[in-house]
Amino acid sequence: MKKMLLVLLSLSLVMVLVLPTVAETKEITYVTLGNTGMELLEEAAKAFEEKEGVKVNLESWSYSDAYSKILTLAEAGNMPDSMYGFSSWTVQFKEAGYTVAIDDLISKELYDDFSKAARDVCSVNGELWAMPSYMSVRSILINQTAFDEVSDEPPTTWEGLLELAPELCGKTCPYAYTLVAGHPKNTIDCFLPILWAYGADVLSEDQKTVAFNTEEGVAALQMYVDLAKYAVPDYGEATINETQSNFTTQTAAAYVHNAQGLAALKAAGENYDWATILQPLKGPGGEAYSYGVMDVDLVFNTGNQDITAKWLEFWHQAKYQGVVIDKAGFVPNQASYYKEMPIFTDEANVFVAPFAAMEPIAKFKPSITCWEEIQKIMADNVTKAVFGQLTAAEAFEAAEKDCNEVLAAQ
Amino acid sequence: MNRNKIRKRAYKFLLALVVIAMIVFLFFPVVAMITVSLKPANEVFSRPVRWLPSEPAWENYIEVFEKMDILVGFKNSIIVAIGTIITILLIGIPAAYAMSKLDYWFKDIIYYLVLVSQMFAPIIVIIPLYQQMNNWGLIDNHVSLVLMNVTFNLAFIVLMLKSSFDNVPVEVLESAKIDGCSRFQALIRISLPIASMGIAVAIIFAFTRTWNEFLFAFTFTASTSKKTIIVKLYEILKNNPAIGIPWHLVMAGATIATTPLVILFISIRKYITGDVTKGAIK
Amino acid sequence: MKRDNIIKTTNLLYVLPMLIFFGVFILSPIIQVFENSFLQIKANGDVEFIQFDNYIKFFNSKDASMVLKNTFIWVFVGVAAKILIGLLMALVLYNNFVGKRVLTGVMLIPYAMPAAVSCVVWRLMYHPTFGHITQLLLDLNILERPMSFLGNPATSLLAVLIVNVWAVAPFCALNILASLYSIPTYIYEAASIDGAGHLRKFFHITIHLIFTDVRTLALLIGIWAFNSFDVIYMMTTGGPANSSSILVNLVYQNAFEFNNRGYASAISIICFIILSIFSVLYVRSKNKEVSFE
Repeated sequence: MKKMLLVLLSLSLVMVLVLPTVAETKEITYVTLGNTGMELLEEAAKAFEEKEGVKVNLESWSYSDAYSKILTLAEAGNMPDSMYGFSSWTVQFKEAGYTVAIDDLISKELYDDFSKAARDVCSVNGELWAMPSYMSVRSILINQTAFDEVSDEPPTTWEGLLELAPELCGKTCPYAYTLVAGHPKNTIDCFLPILWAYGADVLSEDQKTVAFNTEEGVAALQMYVDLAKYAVPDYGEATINETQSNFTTQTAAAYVHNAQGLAALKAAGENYDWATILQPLKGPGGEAYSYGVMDVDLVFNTGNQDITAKWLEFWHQAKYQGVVIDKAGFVPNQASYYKEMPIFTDEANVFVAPFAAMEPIAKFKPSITCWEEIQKIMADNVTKAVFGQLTAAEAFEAAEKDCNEVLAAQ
Repeated sequence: MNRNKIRKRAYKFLLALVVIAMIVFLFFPVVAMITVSLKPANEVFSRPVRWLPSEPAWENYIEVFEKMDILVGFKNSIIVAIGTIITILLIGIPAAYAMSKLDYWFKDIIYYLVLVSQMFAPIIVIIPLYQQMNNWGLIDNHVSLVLMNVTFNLAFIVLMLKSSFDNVPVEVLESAKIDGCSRFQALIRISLPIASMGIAVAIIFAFTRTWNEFLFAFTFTASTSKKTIIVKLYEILKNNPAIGIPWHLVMAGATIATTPLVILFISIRKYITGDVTKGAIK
Repeated sequence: MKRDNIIKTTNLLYVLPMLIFFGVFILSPIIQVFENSFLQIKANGDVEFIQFDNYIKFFNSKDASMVLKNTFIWVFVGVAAKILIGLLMALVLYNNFVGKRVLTGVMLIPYAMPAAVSCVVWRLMYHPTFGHITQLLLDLNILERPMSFLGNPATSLLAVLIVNVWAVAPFCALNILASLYSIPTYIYEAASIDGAGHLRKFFHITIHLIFTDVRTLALLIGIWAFNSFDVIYMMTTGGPANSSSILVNLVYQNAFEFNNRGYASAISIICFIILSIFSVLYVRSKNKEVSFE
């Protein structure tokens, strides 16, 4: 045992010696989520350091925990200089004084380069509080083989999909549809396209109360509950990637998603001929929206805003971020990307082109301070409706009451 | 006589059944982990579930080593574990020795304090602790992880060490005193060697608990180069590419992360039920 | 007498570093949490003293009763299952059979496995389409169609509880085994001479003599269970719809997901009070340990 102690002690000495020493140079920190674009980020960071003499430290956090992590860091005043995040954070982080407006920090050229829709999502009272970054647009994707077995025409409405659902089950795919759940965000990502198609919305105009507890809203929830009966029973544990694999392994015949999953399949060299992208499904009133998800780059109030904005501007070039957008299957929101990279408008590019065309009808999640809590209350009640613990009407009534309390407390 | 024989047979049969049930219950997940880790990518998502891979895909392990940065995770986990063990021993050995052999003020109260201190969940105090560490500039630094692991394992280890010092006969210490040893010398020269087995087991327990620690490692580290193996494993599950969770790779990573612990535990199994751990667990 | 006092004071130095650790990293944070529990901390950093509102909010909320019920099931059903399975295993291992030593050695694997690993493995096994458990139940015709054990509010807590029992039961088994071995054999011999049968010996001697040990063990693993955050977080994050949340998950959720630090602190203090009761029982139980000498 003495020997063992000796071995442990000497091991520890070796470990202490190899610990890297910290070098004192001007540096900034940029956080990306889930390794998105890591290789190109590294390349860009290197080029930036050569150009400006400022080192960019890159970190990668996981998507699902990024929010709690950044809040903890921010509370302790220890934020990174910039980070890739979600547009739903913009207002909260602005209110809390964590972030800075970037209108004056970036060049006029870059500001004009962003599409109007993208700028609008990131603006609060006409000021740009986040830099539009990766944008994705979701619509419905179907397994053509499975649908050909039951119908000549693919559905155009949610009703139509529900009618086909019983027949779809158990043929090419064991299930008609796949929902995402688990984290409340996933449930809501899946539910909002239906809610919007039915003509309801989450918040009222003034954002002081919720607006989903209407006849249309309840009908939308009922549609969701009915679809769930023909959906893969992953309800509750699944992540967004789970629905993706349900679709790609041909477990489910239809789902709502962006181009990223198929882009990944293509990159892996797999055959995806059976996958077809449909226009967003319509509600009873004929309304239809594509589901827009805007990811943003936030600039934190760390005292390094100027150089950080420079770095972001450097990063937001076709040869760096543009390449990531193409590779990952996002939709570009900078005019220069379309100009410099013909691939985004190439009709043969079956992934990005159809989604890019849906940008004008994209609708985005609200950005308010207590969004996480509102989202959780909604998702919990939607879940209870799916499992029959509450009827659709009861679920939304309960959700409305709790959400309004949260909103009132702000 | 005959009835007795039948009884004995029935008893044996029953025993065998229970043993088999026990083995299935305990090891089914372990077997599942290993078999899935050896499946080629296309068999992971096959329906119905294939119980065994058609042929073992060892390349999964190679892929995981490359993708997960496993060596960095291992290095970080080892640094944190060794730092924790050294600090815990430096603080814990004198404390345990005093609790076992020496007299001091508030002895009972301090003993209860140690007992009670292992009751509190880190989660209850994680926010103030985070702020504290941040004030000291220790966020995203292994030192903060070491401090936290020491704090929340100290009581357990001290109680464990105390019971191995209890095994050191007082007479030996008395005679050492006559030979002119100071109390501190008595600790180093006489008690430590006698209690060395207990210390070794304590080291392994401290190692395991630090290795497995998730909450602090997860909350207090940010950069990829500082994360421990457990956090890296958790993130591969959360952060996977859009094609779905690569279960075969996750399982390969899980197998790699578990192996050191299993080897350690099997090597100390004799002592786990012995007197050494009793003081802490009982 | 005076010399004694000096020695008693200098001896205090041996335990001082340990006490400093406890003071700095456990006691002072708890005091801070206690202060925070009376505050409302808004997103923009404004702090307001709101007396007991956070506590009132907790006891009035719909989730509170469910979460308290879940915590109760998680701790008490969990401890009962762990102790019973552990006792059964210990009794088996008390016999001699081929491979006993190997089994004793490897049976700690579930306990030694990092929680992150066992959660990953069990999540795969529970998976509705590719999971081993689902497939097994389908093959045995127990289930008609696949279901999601972790995703259904009716089964999520049970599914997570099984994982926890699986990990901790072997640990209980080895501890109970140690207690069994510590019963001197002459007691059994004496009982045999008195004509006691196997069952009588078991209930009157074994259970009686290991009772205090098992009670202390039960309290300890109960406290661990009460505090165990990672298993539930990693398997279901407390969902769906909080159906598998226990108190500590609610703390995490409010502190880190909703940024309600004051409210989270209040729940922490409630946890702290419950734990203190457990702790008193634990200390008392430890003081009453029996010895056979």
